[in-house]
Parts: sequence; C-alpha cells; structure tokens
Amino acid sequence: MSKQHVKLSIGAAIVVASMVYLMFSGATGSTMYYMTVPELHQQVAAMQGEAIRVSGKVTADPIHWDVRNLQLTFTMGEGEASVPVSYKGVKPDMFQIGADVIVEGQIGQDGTLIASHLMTSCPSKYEEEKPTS
Amino acid sequence: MNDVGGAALQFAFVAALYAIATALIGVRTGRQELIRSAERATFGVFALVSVAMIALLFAILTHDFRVQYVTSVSNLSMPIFYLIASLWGGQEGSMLLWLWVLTLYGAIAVAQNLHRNRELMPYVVPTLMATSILFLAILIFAENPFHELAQAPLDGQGLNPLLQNPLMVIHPPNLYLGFVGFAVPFSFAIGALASGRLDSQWIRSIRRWTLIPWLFLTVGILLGGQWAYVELGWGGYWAWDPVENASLLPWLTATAFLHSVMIQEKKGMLKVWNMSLVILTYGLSIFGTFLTRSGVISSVHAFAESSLGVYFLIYLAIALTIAVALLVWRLPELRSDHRLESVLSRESSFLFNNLFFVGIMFSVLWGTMFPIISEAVRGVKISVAAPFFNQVNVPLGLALLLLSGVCPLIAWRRGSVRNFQRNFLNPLVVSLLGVAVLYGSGIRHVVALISLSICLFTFSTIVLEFYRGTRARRASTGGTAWQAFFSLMTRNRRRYGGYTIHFGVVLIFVGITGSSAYKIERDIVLDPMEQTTVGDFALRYETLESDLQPTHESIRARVEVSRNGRYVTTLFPERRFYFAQNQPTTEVALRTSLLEDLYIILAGFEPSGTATFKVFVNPLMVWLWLGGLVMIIGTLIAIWPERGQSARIGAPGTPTTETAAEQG
Repeated sequence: MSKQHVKLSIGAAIVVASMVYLMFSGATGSTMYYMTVPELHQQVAAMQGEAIRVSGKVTADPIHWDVRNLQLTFTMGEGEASVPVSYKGVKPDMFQIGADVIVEGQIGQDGTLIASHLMTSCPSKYEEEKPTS
Repeated sequence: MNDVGGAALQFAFVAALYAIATALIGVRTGRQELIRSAERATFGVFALVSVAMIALLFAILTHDFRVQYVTSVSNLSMPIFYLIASLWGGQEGSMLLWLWVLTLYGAIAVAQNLHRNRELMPYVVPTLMATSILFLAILIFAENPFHELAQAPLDGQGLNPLLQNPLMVIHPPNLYLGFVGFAVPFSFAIGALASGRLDSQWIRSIRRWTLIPWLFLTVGILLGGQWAYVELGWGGYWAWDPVENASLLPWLTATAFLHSVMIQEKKGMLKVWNMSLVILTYGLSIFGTFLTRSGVISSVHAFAESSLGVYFLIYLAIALTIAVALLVWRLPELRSDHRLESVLSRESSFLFNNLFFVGIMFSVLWGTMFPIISEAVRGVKISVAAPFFNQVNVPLGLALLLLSGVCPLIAWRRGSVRNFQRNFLNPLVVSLLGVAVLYGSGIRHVVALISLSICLFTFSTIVLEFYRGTRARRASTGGTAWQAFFSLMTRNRRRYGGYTIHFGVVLIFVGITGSSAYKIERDIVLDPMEQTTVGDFALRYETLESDLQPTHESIRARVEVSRNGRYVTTLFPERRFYFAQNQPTTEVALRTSLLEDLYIILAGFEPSGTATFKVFVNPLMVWLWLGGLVMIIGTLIAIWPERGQSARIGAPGTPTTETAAEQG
C-alpha cells in the first residue's frame, strides 16, 4: 500500500467513523416507542414520561374542538382498547371519526395522551377502503 | 373495453415471458433471429400495455362505474383534467402507469440499440422484461385495475380533493419516470456483466439513461415537497416520512453514480463501485416502491395495506442475488486501469463525495427501517423522528456542499499548495466577508452561518469556474464576453451543466437554511377587525366571506397584510367543504417574495366570526423552488447532445473536452 493510499484510507475511515457516530448518537437522542393502541393499553403505567408514537383510529366518542384555544380532545382506539388524547394545534383536514391517525407525545398523569404531533393518514395516491359491492 | 384491457395485460405477460426465453436461447445458440424476435416482443409488450392504459382511460372518461377502480377515484362532476389524473390516482392505476413507463423506456432502449451494443442486448431485454413481469403479475393476479363490481353505483367516490391540485397531477408521473428509468441502466449493467463486455462502452450508452430518470426523480421529489407545502397546510415541505425517504434513497445513489462514473470514463477506476451503485439504485427504486405499497412501515401517507409486499420482496431477492452473483463472477475483470496518485486530487474528492452520498443513503435507510430493525433486535418497535434525520444529514449535506465547491478546483491526479492558493483564496475571502456581514446584520444562528458561508464559498467557486472558462475562451476565439460564455457552455455542456446544477443546489441550501433556522410559527385568535403582528407583518382580520360552489362550500377570511405601516396585500385563507367526499380542506393563503413567504391558514372559526389562524413566516423559501428550477435547467444543458459528439467519443484516454478546457 502506498503512502497516499494509507492517507486516503485514514481520511475515509475518519469520515465513515463520524457518520456512524452521528447515526448512533442521533438514534439514541430522538427515539420513540412505536405502538398501537392495544399495545399501549397494556403498559400505560410503564410508558409514563416516555416519548411514544401511537397509531390507531379516531373513535366515535365525542370530539371536542376548541377553536379559540386550538385544543382538540378525542379518543383513539383499536379494537377494544382506547386512549384519550389531548392535542394543541390545528385540526387536520382528514381528521374525522374513523380516520387513521398517528399521534406523538407523552402519557400524562391522568392517563391522557398529551400529543405534540397529530398526523392523519395522508390521502396520497392510494385509496383507503375499497367500496364493498 | 374492460375485457380488452384485462386481456391486453395477459397477452403482455405471455409476450414478456416469450422475450426472456427467446433472448436467452438466442444468445446460447447464437441465433440472431431469435434475439431479434425477442426485441420485437418488447415492442409488443409496450403496445399491449398501452392498450390497457387506453382501456382504463376510456373507462374513466365514460364513467364506467362497473369498474371498481373507476368508482374509487372518479365521479361525474370531476373536470376532464382531474379525470385524466385519476388514471394514476389510485393503487391499481398508478401501478399500470409504472408498468407503462417501464415498457416505454424498454422499447426506446431496444430501438436505440438495434445496431449497437449487440452483445449486451440479449441480456438487456430479459432484465427489462423481468421487471415488467413483476408489475404484470401484480396487475393480473393481485390488483386488477379492470375488476368489475357486481352492481355499478350511480356515481363514483371521486378523487380526494387534496389530490385535486395540478402539482399532484404531475408529481406521481414524474416520480415514476424517475424510479422506473433506473431499470435501463441496471439492465445494461447486467448486460455488461453477463456478456463480459466490461469496457466503458456500456457506461457511455447509459449516460443519458441515468441523467434522464435522475432529472425526473429530482423534479418529482421537488414537486412532492411543493405540493405538501401549498396543499397540506403544515407550513413545511419535507417531514422525513417513509414515503418521502423512499423517493430519496435511489436519488442519493444515482447522484453518487453520476459523479463517480466520470472517474471511470476518464481514469478507468471504480468499476466495481459503479456497477454496485447501479445495482443498488435499481434495488432501492424497487424497494422504495415496495415500502410505499406494502404498508410494512406505517406512514402518514395512507398505504393500501395489501399483499403486494410479497411480490416485491421475492422479486427483489431474485434480482439482487443474480446481480451480485454476476458481479462477483466478473470481479477479476473489473480491475482499475489506474491507481490513485494523491489524496489531494480530484479523484479522491470524488471518492469522498461518493462516501457522503452513500453515507446519507444509509442513514436515511437506517432511520426509515429503524422500527423494523429494533423490533427484530429488541422486540420493541422504536421509531426515530425528524430530529434524527436532521442531526445526521445536516452535517453530511453541508460537507457535500463544501465538497461540490472544492472538487472542481482541485486538479486531476495531484493537487498542490500553489494550486490551492490560486483557486481557493478568493472564494474563501468572499465566504468570510459574507459571514461577517451576516453576523453584523444580527444573524447568530450557528448552523445557519456555517451553511450560508459554505453556500457563498461554493457559489464563488462556481462563478470563478465560469469566469476563467469564459476568459480562456475569449482569449482563444475573441468576440464579446457573452459570445465566449455561450460558446463555453455549448462546447462543454456536461461540465457547465454540472456546475449549473451545483448552483441550483446552493440555492436550495439557502432556501432550506432560511426556512428552517428562521421559521416563525404562530397560532392566533382574532375577532373581526382585530389586528396582530407576526414577524414584520401586521395582519388585520376583516371579515369572513362564504361562497357556494357546485362541488364545495367555501368560507374564507379576508386578511389585510401590511408592513411598517404600508399596505402589502390582502390574503384569503380558506376552508372548503367538499360534498361528494364529505371532507373539509384547508386552502393556504400564501404571499411569496424573494425574502420570505407569509403563509396563513384558517384553522377554524366560531359563529360569532372569531377566527383562529395559523401563521408561518418562512424566510428565503422561494430560493428552494428557484434552485430546483436551476437544477432542471442545468440537467437539460448536460443532457443536450453536443455537436460532433460522436467524433469525440474515442478510446479511453483521448483528451476529452474537460481536460482540454483545463489546459486552456
């Protein structure tokens, strides 16, 4: 191996090492437990204070939308399990009963999921439900 | 017509199988007529898939609601523009479009090579047809676009109103033209590996075949971002969502390839690496389609959760196994013609460029797949959010931008200290002066300062390159500076097209920096005639106006915008309610200027007239879109055929335009 190759390999190794470092340090800093509502239901207590990302559907329970304070409260569920959600922000267009939602946030003292992000499944190119004939 | 469409797909399936078999038998037995027959079959596949496309379009335009697909994406009240768009507005239709683009590309590639690359074609044809078969199989067995309902409804459900936007009409075809296009370079790579014609001929043949899909993918990604920005109303354009990442992954490896292929053409180095990048890009474009279609990773984009994933995974496993096996088999023949001579050379800067691109690709892939990886390893699904992607990719992206400024200024083979001083002093001074000015004007955001200083540096190296080239050209040919400049551009399209693309990238970085470091986001509640300020803007909410349209009801707020006491504009953030889809939509009110975007959405209102707004001020936002435009122009310059190009394509080692220009 020539001297230049050694230098180049060292340079490349430094770059690769810093990229790997970035990837692992970044991953530990911004992870969230990712679960469905039934999975959350089983371990609500354990999840208190953890950053979580929960997917489920908006249930038929009453939805409160306080326009003045941009406060949205609803229940999300899947199957038998459900969890109350409180979100401060704009109600997304696709938000309605039965919509698939992904919520990011933390479980509060009273078991409410305090959401920092609320995403409805974007309609995208793909239809959600096929019409039944 | 529906039966015709379905039958056309089945015939296409048979024809594609026939093409694979005859091409391979033809090459084994040396019977040219069989290979010719296989090539004709690829035209046949294209014609048959076109028939299926026309049949589906016919069903949509004639409102044939017996067809389930037509019912799910269109209705009677939709204008013709969106009716055509609904051809790719749903799962089955978009797969059909994917397939049609693929067979179109395949037919063009075959037609171009009827007298060239004859050793490669017996393998190129089967590779292209194998990809077609994947999609044909899905369309015939799993997602038949012509599936009929037992009872036709009176009207369809219509295209989702959020998709009824011109950007959304052209965005998917662009992405497909990009994604699908990488199948052609891949098939040539397989052709080169299988036939053993490993000289740089195949690389030259696919030069445009990589740039064109790359252009479409670039445009597709930008359009997707712009659609998200103007339509979804969250004030951003990129969220590191799995679907977005899926489009970015092959773009990153393709961009790496576009750079490293120059090293192979000029120096005969990096042959294995380039081959791997082509295979990887193709693999990632199939993988991306799999990600978006299988529902394996949940995303904000509603995936149809379907059994499609299996098809993609099986196909991907087979394709990659064959490709890697071929590559390993040919490894001894893929040695470099030259060795690297210096760390400070353009060759090595290309190596680092590739390292960064592939590094970014891995980090994006890692982040996207994290829930699956963590579930497999630790048994818990853990996802990583946007901060992860930003933390990793901001430094890597900035390093790449810096490299794009440094790279053209380093000499081939071996750089020197003098070469460095001569080339870097001015850009460095410009960049430092710029930072001083920015700091003086009150900018304290460290990352923004670093980013903008790199932008300035790279920008000035590009200007320097253009200036030097023009001066040299003028010295040798005379004429005005403009004449010299244009003659420079037209004679070195690829090189100066490349610099133009880099300039576009600089603008994009400026836009991203401004809009992320200095974004203002405010929620405000106002009574009619009440006023508030956001950033420099004074906003006065005057009244609510309502309007009834055939398809929707609209309520809009009248907001008067002024700055420093001077009237600027009146904006109308709006909410609509679409009757057919029973869905509200938010229509963003946007005022764009070179300095910043004012972005207002009407979040809600009360019967009293009190309204809630979400207001964003996104500085320098428009530079992102302008940069995209410059990238497109640059790519078109690079793609455009050079005059007398055939004369210039000589054996490797002949001076190319680029080295000639450097000597000038």
